[in-house]
Parts: sequence; C-alpha cells; structure tokens
Amino acid sequence: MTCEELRRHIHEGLDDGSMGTLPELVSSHLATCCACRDFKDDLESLSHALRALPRVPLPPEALDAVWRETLHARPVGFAAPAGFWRLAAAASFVAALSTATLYFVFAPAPPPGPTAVELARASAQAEMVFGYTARALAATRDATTDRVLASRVAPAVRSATASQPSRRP
Amino acid sequence: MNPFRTTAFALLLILGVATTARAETTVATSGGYVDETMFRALVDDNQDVVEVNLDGAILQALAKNGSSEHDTPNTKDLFAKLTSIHAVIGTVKGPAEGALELVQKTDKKLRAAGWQRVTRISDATSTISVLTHTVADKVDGLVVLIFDSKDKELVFANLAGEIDVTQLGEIGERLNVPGLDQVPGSR
Repeated sequence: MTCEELRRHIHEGLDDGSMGTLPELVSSHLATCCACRDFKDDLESLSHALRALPRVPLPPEALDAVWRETLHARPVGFAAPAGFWRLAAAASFVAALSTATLYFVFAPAPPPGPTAVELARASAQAEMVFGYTARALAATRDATTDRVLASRVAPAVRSATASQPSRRP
Repeated sequence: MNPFRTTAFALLLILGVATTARAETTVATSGGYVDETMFRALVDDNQDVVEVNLDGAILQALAKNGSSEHDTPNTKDLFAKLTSIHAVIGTVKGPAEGALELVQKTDKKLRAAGWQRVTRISDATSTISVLTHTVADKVDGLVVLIFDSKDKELVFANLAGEIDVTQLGEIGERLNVPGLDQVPGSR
C-alpha cells in the first residue's frame, strides 16, 4: 500500500467514523511509516478539536442570503480568448462569401423582360387601339356638337337670319 | 306517373335551360376588363385579324422604357396606369346582322353590369358604342365597339386600369395611325 492510498483510507475512516476498524494493511503500513502516522494523528486531532466546538445555529438571514445568491447567480459565460473571435469572424465572412458565390453561380436567372422587338410590337398595337379609341371619342364629340347645333344654335341662327333684312338689291 | 316526380323534372329542365341561356349571353367582366372571346369567335380567320392582348408586365415595360418616337411623358403615364389592353379587329364571318346584334347585346349587358354608355352612334350601316366603367369617380375601364355592316368590319377594344379619357383622346389623335380615317363616324 502506498502512502497516498493509506491517506485516502484515513480520510474515509474519519468521515464515516470507522477509524477503529481499519484494514490490516493500513495498520501494518502505519506501524512502519512514521510520516503517515503523523498525518493520521494530525487529522484525528483536528477532527476532535472541530467536533468539540460549540454548535451555533445558522441565522435565518444568512440562509436567505445564501438562497438569494444561489438563485440570482448567473452562469459564468464562455470566456473566449481574443483570437477566437477573430477566427469566428473570418469563418463567418468566408461562409457568407461562399454562399453568395454559390447563389450567383447556381441561382436561376430572372425571367427575361420583353425584348425590343416585343416592345415595339406592343407599342404599335397599343397605338392602334388608342387610335381607334380616339376616333370613337372624336365621333362622340362630333355627334354631340351636331346635336347641340341642331337643337340650340341652328334655330337661333335661323331666327337671326330671318329677322335680318335682305341685302339683295 | 308520379305527379311529384314529373313536377320536379320539369322544374329542373326549366332551370337548366334558363342557366344555359343566361351563360350564353353573359358578358364576362371584372372591374374594367371585358372578355373579348365572343368577338374573337365572330371574326373570320381567313381574313386579316388583329388581336391585341397586352397585360401588366409589357405595359409596365412600355411605361418604363417606351419604344417609339411617339412616346411622350403623357403616353408613358397612360401605360403606367393601364392594367390591360385587349382588342379584336377583323371581318365578321357570318351575316352582318349577327355581329350587329352581338354588339347591341354586349352594349346592353355591359350597361346592366354597371357600365355607363358614353355614346352610341348608329346610322344605316354602322354603329359606334363607347362605354366606361367607373369606380370612385375614376374611369377604370373603357370599351369601344365599332361595327360597319357594309364592310362587316368589327372593332372591339377594351382598356382596363385608371384612364384619363381626355388624355387618351389627345394621344390617340396625335398618333395618326394609318387607316383610321376609314373608321365609321370619323371625319
């Protein structure tokens, strides 16, 4: 048994109160190792001294304070080194650049707009329709004018003409 | 024979006939748009036919770019506000009376659908009808129907979208499209 293993046995024995029933190997090591014996004696003295202290109840405020601190405690953030952020920024830039390049290379082409020929044809067709429409509107205007002339102006002109003396000799 | 069954059959028959008759004479309209299919079916394909179907994308392109020497800010503005231009111009294949009847029926149906007749000029051989559709005091549709029973030439034109009729008339007269002098009623 090594000194380290023995000291672990001593810690466990003090914690669970089984120091009186230590294994044979531990007892034989203690009998031959002066340092471990001193270690055991020191720990036993400390343990007895602590147990001998008077018990003081924990004040309720202290318990509340502990709960508050526990509940409000924030997890410790990831403390990244300065170089990490530079690397992350560079990686993000490269990823964005790659995505943009792939998009421009493989994205479907936008639907082509009308060609100049199609525009010219459409313009001519539209002009023809505008022309017909304008003619129909002009016919409307002329018909309206004719009606006004016939119903209002013409009688007035007729009466004015009738009232004027003839200039014929 | 079961009288109930006979009555039900008769009612169904009447309903079916009425629906069919109505479907035959209904003019399909949506806002300022009027379906030109009826007139297209009437025109003789063996003779010269002009069919115009210009919709949003091409009209917006014309408004943005223009394409002829006639294009002015006013013309581009007119194109920008139009949503469609449809027209059928040709010679009717049946008897002139049939086409004239369709023109008159369309005129009547459009008025029943809320269109306002601006004009209807009829003489012995020709008929010109101009109708507009208005929403909130703005013209959003215009239909021109011209039929000359002598030449059997039929013109159906429909402009949909916001239309300034005065601006349209000015632009149309300035364009001086060849052959329009022969349009009935024009001087």
